[in-house]
Amino acid sequence: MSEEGAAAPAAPRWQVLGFVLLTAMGGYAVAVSLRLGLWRQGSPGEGLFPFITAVTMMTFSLIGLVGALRAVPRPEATGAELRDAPLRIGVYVAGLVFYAAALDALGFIVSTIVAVVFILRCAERYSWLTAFALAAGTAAGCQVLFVSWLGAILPTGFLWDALFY
Amino acid sequence: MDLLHSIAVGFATALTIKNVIYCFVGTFVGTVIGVLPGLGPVATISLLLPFSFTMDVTSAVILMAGIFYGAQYGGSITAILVRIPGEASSVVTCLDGYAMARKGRAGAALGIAAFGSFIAGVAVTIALFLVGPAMSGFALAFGPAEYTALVLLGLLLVTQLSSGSQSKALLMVSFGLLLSTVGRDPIYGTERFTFGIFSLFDGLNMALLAMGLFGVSELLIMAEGGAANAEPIAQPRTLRELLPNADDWRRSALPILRGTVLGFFLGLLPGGGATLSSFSSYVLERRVAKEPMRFGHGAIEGVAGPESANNAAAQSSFVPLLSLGIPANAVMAVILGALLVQGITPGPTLIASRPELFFGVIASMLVGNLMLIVLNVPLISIFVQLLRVPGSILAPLIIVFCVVGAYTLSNSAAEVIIMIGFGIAGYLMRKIELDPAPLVLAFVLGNILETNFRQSLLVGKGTLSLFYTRPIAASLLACSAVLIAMQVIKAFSAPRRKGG
Repeated sequence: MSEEGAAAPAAPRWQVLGFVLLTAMGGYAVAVSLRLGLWRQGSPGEGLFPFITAVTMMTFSLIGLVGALRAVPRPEATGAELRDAPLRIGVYVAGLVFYAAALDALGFIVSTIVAVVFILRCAERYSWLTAFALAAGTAAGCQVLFVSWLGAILPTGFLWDALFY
Repeated sequence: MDLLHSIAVGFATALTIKNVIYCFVGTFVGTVIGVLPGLGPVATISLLLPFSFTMDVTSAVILMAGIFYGAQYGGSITAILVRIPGEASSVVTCLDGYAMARKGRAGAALGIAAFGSFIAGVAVTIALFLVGPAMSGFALAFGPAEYTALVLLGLLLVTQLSSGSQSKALLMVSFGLLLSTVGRDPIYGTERFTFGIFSLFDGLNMALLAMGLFGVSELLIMAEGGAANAEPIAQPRTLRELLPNADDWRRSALPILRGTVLGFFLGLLPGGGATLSSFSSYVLERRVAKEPMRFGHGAIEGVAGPESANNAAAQSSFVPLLSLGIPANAVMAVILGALLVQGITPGPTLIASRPELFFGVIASMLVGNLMLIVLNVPLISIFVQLLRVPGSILAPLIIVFCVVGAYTLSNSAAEVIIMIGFGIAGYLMRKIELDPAPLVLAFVLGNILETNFRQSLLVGKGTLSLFYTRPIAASLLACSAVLIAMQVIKAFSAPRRKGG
C-alpha cells in the first residue's frame, strides 16, 4: 500500500525515536490493561483485548526499532526548500492549533480568516492583500455552503456575544 | 409471490412520481454529503428522521436509501481529487485514485468509480430480487466465533496490502486495534484510555481518524515543499482522457465483477457493510493482480473493485434489515428506528405483509443508480477542474473543510483538536515510512473483533472451544493459519535465495 506523493523519509535517528515512542505507548497500554484486569468472574475482562493488541504493538515496534538501528544512514537533504520545511510545517501546525482553539471564542468566520491569513502569509509568503482576499473568500464560501445551504451549526463566537450583547 | 409479480410490485411502487422525486433528492443529497468530510449519511439521515415520521414509510426508506448509496459515490470524489475520504468506505480509493489523479487520470478514476458503482448497483438490485429473501438466512449462520475468525482473516490479509515491511503493517494493525479500545468497554462500560477527557468517552470517531491521517497529513506533506511550489497535477487535455479508455475497461471488468460479488455477501453480514467490503476488495485485487507493485501508484483496479464493492454492500445491507430486522450498520440502525416509529417491525413476515415496501425499496435502487450515473458522469469534467486550483489555494480549502467536517460531528472544538492530533501523527508516521491505511482498517474492525471475541469466550465458558467446533469459524481460522505459514516460509526462503 505504498503511496504516491509520499513524504521524504526521515533520517534513521528520527525513525529510532518514532519506534521508541510507539514501544513506549505499547508499554503504557500494557500497564493500563493489566490494571483494568484481564479476567473477571470466569469471563474476559476489560483489559484482555487491549492487552493482546498492546503486546502485539510492542513486539512489532521493537522489530521496527531493531531495523531502524541497523539501517544504513542516508545522506540528509540539504536543499533550501527542505531547510525551510520545519518552519513551514511549524506555521501550518500553529495555524491549525490556533484555529481549533479560537473556533468557539472567535466564531467560524473570524477564526478562519485569521488562521488562513497566518498560514498563507507566514508559510507561503503571500502578500497581506492576497492572503486576506483568499481567506475571506474561503470563509464566506464555506459559510454559505455549510450554514446557509446545508444547515450545519457553526460557532458564532461567544467572545463577540459577550462583548456586544 | 413469484419473481415477475415481485418485480411488478417493486417498480409500480418505485416509479410513482412522488417516489422518483424522493429517490432523486436522496441520491443528490447523498452525493453532496459524501463529498463533504465529516457530514456523513448517518448524521444526515438522523437529521431527516423527524420529517420521515410524517411521510409514507416506503417513500421515507427510498429517500434514506438514496442518501446512503449516493454518499458511497460522493465519498470517492474528494478521495480521488484531494486525498480526503468523504466516507470511511472511500479510504482505499485514496490510494490508487489519488495516484491516478496526480498522473492526470482523475477523469478515468472518477469515471470508473461511477460506472463501477452503477454496474454493481444494478447487478445487486437484480440479485436482491432473485435471491434476496432467501439470502437473509446467510447472516444468521454467522455467530461471534465466525465474526472473530472473519475479522482476523481480514486483518491478516490487510497486511498483504503493504508493499513495504509486513512487520510495519502489523504494527499499524495492532495500533489501530488499540485505538479502537479507547472509550467505554463494550460489555462492562468501564472507561478505557480516556484520560478523563469527555470527548473520548464514546470512543474515537472514524471520520476524525480518516480526515487527520489522510487529509491533514497530506496538507503537511504539501507544506513541506511549500504549497505554492507544489508540483502541478497533470491535467486531462481531451474528452477521451476524461473517461476510462478501452484498456481501463479491460483492466476493470473483473475487479468490478469480483467487487460486486464480495460487496453483496459482506453487505449481508451485520457489521460488514461498505467499509469492510471496499478494503476486502482492494486486498483481493492486489492478491490476484499479475503486477501487484502497480497498486498504490495508480492501478485502476484499485479504484474499480473497492468502489463496486462499497456500492454493492450499501444495497445488500438492506436485506438483513428488512427481512430479519437486523441493522448491518449505523445507517441501517437509524432506518430501523424510522420503521419502528411508523409501527413497522421488520422481520421474516415483512416481505409477505408489506411487499411494496421490500420490493419497492429494491426497485428504487435501480432507479437511484441510474440517476447517480446521469448526475455524476457529466460532472466529471467539472470535478476535474478542481485540480487546476493551485496548491496554495487548495491548502486553506482543505484546512477549512476538514475543520468544519470535524466540528459538525458533535459541534465541539475538541473534535477538531483530536483530528489535528491525528494529522500530525499521520505526518510523522509517513516520515518514518509507516502506512496509516492498515491502521484505519484495524480501527474500523476493532470493535467488531473485540465484542465478538469476548462473546465467543463467554459462550465457550472461558475456553476457545467455539473456534474449532463451529465449521465456518474453523475453516476461516484454517485459512488464516495457511496465510501465516505462507508468510513464514516466504520470510525464511527469501534470505536463502538472496544468498544464492
